Amino acid sequence: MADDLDARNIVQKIQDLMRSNTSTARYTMQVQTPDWQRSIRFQSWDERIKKRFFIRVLSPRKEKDTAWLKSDKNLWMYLPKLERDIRIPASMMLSSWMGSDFTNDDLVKMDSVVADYNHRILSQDANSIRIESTAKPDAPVVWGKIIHAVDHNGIPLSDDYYDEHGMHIRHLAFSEVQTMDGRRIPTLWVMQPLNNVGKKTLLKLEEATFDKAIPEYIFTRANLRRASPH
Amino acid sequence: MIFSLAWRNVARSWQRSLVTIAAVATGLSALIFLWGFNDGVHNTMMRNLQQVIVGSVQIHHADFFKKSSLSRHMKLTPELQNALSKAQNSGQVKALSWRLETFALAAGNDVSEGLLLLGMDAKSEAKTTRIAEKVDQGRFLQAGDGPVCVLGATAARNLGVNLGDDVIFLSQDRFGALAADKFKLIGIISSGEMGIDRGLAIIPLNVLQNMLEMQGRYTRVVLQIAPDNLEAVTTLLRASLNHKDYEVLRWYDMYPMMKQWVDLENAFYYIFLGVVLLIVAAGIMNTVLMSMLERVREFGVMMALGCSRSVLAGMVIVESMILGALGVLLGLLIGLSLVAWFHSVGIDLSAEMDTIARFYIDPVVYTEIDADHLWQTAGSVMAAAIVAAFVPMWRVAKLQPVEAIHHV
Amino acid sequence: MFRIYMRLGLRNLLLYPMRTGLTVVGLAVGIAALTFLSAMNNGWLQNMKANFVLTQMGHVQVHAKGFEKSRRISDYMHATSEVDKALQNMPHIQAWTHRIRVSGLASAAGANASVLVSGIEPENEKKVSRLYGFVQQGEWLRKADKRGVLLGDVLAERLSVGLGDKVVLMAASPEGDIASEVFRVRGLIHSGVLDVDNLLALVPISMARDWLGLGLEGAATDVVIRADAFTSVDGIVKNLKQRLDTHDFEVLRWQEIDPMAEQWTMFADVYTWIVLLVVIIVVLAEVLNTMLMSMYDRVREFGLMAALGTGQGQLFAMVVCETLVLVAMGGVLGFVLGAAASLYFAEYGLNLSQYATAFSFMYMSPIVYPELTLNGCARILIAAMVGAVLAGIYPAWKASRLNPAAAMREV
Repeated sequence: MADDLDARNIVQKIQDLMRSNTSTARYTMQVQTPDWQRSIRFQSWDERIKKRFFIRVLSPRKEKDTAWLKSDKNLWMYLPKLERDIRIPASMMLSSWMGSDFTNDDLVKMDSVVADYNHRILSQDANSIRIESTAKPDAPVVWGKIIHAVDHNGIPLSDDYYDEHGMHIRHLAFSEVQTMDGRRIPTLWVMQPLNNVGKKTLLKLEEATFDKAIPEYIFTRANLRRASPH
Repeated sequence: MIFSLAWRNVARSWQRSLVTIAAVATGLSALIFLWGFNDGVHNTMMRNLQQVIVGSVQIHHADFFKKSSLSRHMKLTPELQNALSKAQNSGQVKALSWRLETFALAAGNDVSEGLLLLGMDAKSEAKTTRIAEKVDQGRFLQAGDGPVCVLGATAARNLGVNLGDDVIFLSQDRFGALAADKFKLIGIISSGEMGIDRGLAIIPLNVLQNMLEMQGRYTRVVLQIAPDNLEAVTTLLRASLNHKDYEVLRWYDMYPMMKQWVDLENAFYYIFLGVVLLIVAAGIMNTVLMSMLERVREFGVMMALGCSRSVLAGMVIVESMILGALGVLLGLLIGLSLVAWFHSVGIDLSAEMDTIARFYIDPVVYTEIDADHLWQTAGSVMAAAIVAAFVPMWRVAKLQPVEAIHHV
Repeated sequence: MFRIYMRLGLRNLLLYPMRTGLTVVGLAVGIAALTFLSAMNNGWLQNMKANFVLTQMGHVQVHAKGFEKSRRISDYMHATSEVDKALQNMPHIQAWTHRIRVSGLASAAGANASVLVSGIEPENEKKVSRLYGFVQQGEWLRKADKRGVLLGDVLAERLSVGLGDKVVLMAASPEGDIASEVFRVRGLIHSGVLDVDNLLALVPISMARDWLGLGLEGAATDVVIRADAFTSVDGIVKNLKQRLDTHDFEVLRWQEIDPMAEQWTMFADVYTWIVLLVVIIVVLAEVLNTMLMSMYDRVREFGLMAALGTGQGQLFAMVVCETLVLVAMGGVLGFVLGAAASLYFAEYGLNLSQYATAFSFMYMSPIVYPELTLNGCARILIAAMVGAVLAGIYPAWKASRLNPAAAMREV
C-alpha cells in the first residue's frame, strides 16, 4: 500500500514529539487488575542514538534502588537487597515488563513505528485525524496495523493495535496534556488489553527533559549501585 | 470313573508321564522366568520415574502442564481439600507433597542461565519421592532451612558454582514485580536425567512462596500411589474436582513414552507366549498320541466289552488334563522359585553395559511378575494341554473295536 | 560309520511319521519363531537407533569447541569450509548439513514464548534428518522462502498462531545486540515429544545468518552428519578428529550428545540374549521329551540290537545321530520358515499398532521391519545343533545301558 506523505509526516511528528535523541524523565506506572493493584515510580535516562538507557526505581520501598543499565550491548540489573548486579542474557527477557501490559516488543522497538509501516489518512473531523498504519510485509513487528488518532495540533489521542486478522488487541489512550521542557505532550498513557478486561496499565509522566546531554557516568556499572537521592 | 481310569493310565507309564510333565513344566517355568525378567525391568523403570520426582498422580490448575505459568496456580480450596481427604481416606495414597515452581534466571559468579525454580517441602517430599537420594554432593533440603538451594550437576557446572557459593535467583512475583534473592548452594544432584541435572534448582517451598508473594499457593500436588490403585484414585480425584479448574494427570499422561515402550515390549512377549504354547502343545499331542497308539488294542478290548466311545474319549482328555495340570503345577513351582530367587539376588548385567549414570535403567535386574501375566501364562499352557488332546481324542472316537484288537 | 548312523537315524525317524512329524513341527515352529523374533528384535533395535539419531541429532556433530556445553551463539563456527572439505571425500558419509541453533523469544500479537530456533538448509536437512516427515500441517521450508518458519504445534497453539500468520523472532546476536525478524508460519511440526513441539522453530539458515549478524556464508553452530551405517560412526569420528584442529572444533558422536538413546539401545540388546536363551531351553526340552519317549517305545528294539552285538558306544552314537537328524530336519524347516517370514515383513513391515495405544512418541514406530543378519542366523543354528547334541545325550546314554534280556522282555 502506498505511503501517504501527509500521514507519514504526522506519524513522524508524533514520534518526534514523544521521543528525542536524549531524554530524562520520571514516571509512575500503575498496574491494575480485578484482584490487585501495584504502583512503581522510576527515573529514566535514555540515549537513543547510542542505544543506551538507565532506569532506577524510586518507590515502593521494597523495590527502591533497583536499577537497569543497557549499554555496551549488555543488559545489567542491580538488586539493592542483594547488593549484586547481574547480567541478563538478552534472550531471557521477561515476557511482560514489570508485570505491565507493555511487552519487550514495545521496549525494544518503539522507534520503528514510522519506518516499518505504510501510512494513510483514514478519516478527519473537527477534532481529530485518524491514520491507519499498515505493517510492511518484512517489518519485524507483530501487529497487522495500528490506527493512530491525533488532534490537529499533532498531539496523539490514542493508538489502536490490530493483529493481521483484524482483531483488535490493544488500546492505548493518551490524555492530560501538559507542557514539559517546552513541549506539549500527553502525560498519561493508559494501555488496555482487549482480551483481559479489568487489567490495565497506566503510565504517568511526572517530569521530563529532552535533548539535554546526559553525563557519561550515568551509563556505567558503578552507577547501578548508587542510591537515588529521593 | 473316567478320572480314575485316566489317573491309572498316567501312573502306569509314569516315566513317560514324567517326561511330558517335565516338558510342560519347563515351558511354563521358562515363560514365567521371562515374564519375571520383563516385568522386573519394566516395573523398576516405571517405579523409578514415579518415585524419584514425578509421582504417580499430579494435580494442577487446569491447563498447567501444557501452558505452565505462575498465574495458573492452586490454593487449598475446600474443593481441593475435600478431594484430597477422600483420596487419603481410601488408604490408597501412600504420600503426597506440595510444590511451587516458576521460571527464573540463576546467576552464578559471572554467568547467568535460565532454569526452573522448584520449591519443595523437605519433610513431605522425603515421604513422597526419593529425589533427596540423588544428591551426590552436599545434602538435600531439610525442615527449617532458610535460603539454600540444590542444583543439578550440569547447571552448577555451567554457572561455575560449588558447594557453599551463593546463587541468585531472579524471577517475577505474582504481581509481576521483580523477585530476587540469594541462596547458598548446599547440594548438587546427579540423577542421569538431563531435565533434572541441567535445568532444575530446588529451594524450600516456604522460602519460594514468600519470595513470589505466593503464600498458601501452589503449582502442583504430587501423590505417590501403588500401581494397582492408580486408576481408582485418579477416577476418584477427577470426580471430585471440577475439570475446568483442575487437571488430574497420571505419570503416563505426562510422560507417555515409557508406557508405550512397555506396551510394545509386552506385545513382543505375547508373541513369544504364542510360540512357546505351540511347542508345548505339540509336545503334549505327541505324548498323548503315542501313548494312545500303544494302547489301541487295549481300547479295542474295552470297546468290545461295552465301554462307550465317549467314555474313552473323555478318558483321553482327562489324561491330558492331568498331565497338563501336574506340569503346570510343577512349572509354577519352579518358575516362581526362579523369580523369587532372582528377586532377592538380582541379575547383574553391568558387565554388558556402561557405567554411565543411569536414570531409567538399572544394570541389576530384580525379577518380579505381574499377577495377570502369571495367570494368563499358566492358563494358556493349561488350555494348550487340553487342546492338544483333541486330535488323539478324535482318533480314539473313530476307532473300530475289531480293527483295534488286531492292531499290532 | 557316521553316514550309516545318520541313515539309520533317518530311517528310524521315518518309521514313526506322526511322532517325528509332530516333533519336527514343534522344532520348526521354535526355530522359525527364534529366527523371526530375533530378526524382528534386530530390526526394531536398528529402527529405534535410527529414529533417535535421524529424527534430529545425526550420527555425528561438529561444533566450535565448547558449544555443546555453553550453547551460546557466540561459540559459533565462523567458517565451516574446513569441515566441509574434510567431509567431502570421507568414506561412509551419507549426507551432511549445517545448522544455526539459538534460543530466543517468539512474539505474536497475542502472546510470547521462549523458543529454540534452528536455522536449517532445507534441502540438505531432508537428506540428513527426518524432521521433514513430521510436518503435520502446511509444508516444509523452501530455500527461496526467506521468511518461512516452521513451528512445533504446541508452540503455535501457545502463541495463538496458525498457517500464514506472522511471528517475530527475537534473539541476541553474538555481540549481545537484540535482533528481531518477522517470519510467516509455513507449517506445523508434530513429533510427539513435548520438548520439541513446545519449543522448536525452524527457519532457513541464510535468514538466520542475516538476522543474527553472523555475516559470512559459511557460519554455523552445527555441522550435522549422517553416516551410511551405525558401524561407520567411530571411523568417521576418528577421521574427523585427525583432520580438524581440536582447538577450534569439537566432534561428538550421537551417544555423547544424548546418552539416554544409548541406554535404551544397549539394554534392548542385552534383553535379546536372555530371551533367546530361554526359548532355546524350551526347544531343548521339547526335543528331549520326544527322544526320551521314543526311547521308551523302542526298548525292545534296542535290546534286540544289543543282543545281536551292537556295542554300547555304537548305540549311543546312533541315538545321538538320530537326534541330530531330527533337529536338522526341524531346524532347517524352521529356519526356512523364519527367514521367509522375516524377509516378507522386511519388505512390507509388521504392524503392531493394535497392541499398543497411541504411538505418538517419535522414537518408536508401531510398524516393525525385521532385519535378518548372518550373525544372528549363525548363532541360532549353532545353538540348535549344540542343543540337539545335548538333548540327545541322556536318551542315548540310557539306550546304551540297556540290559538286552530285560529289554526284550518289555511289552
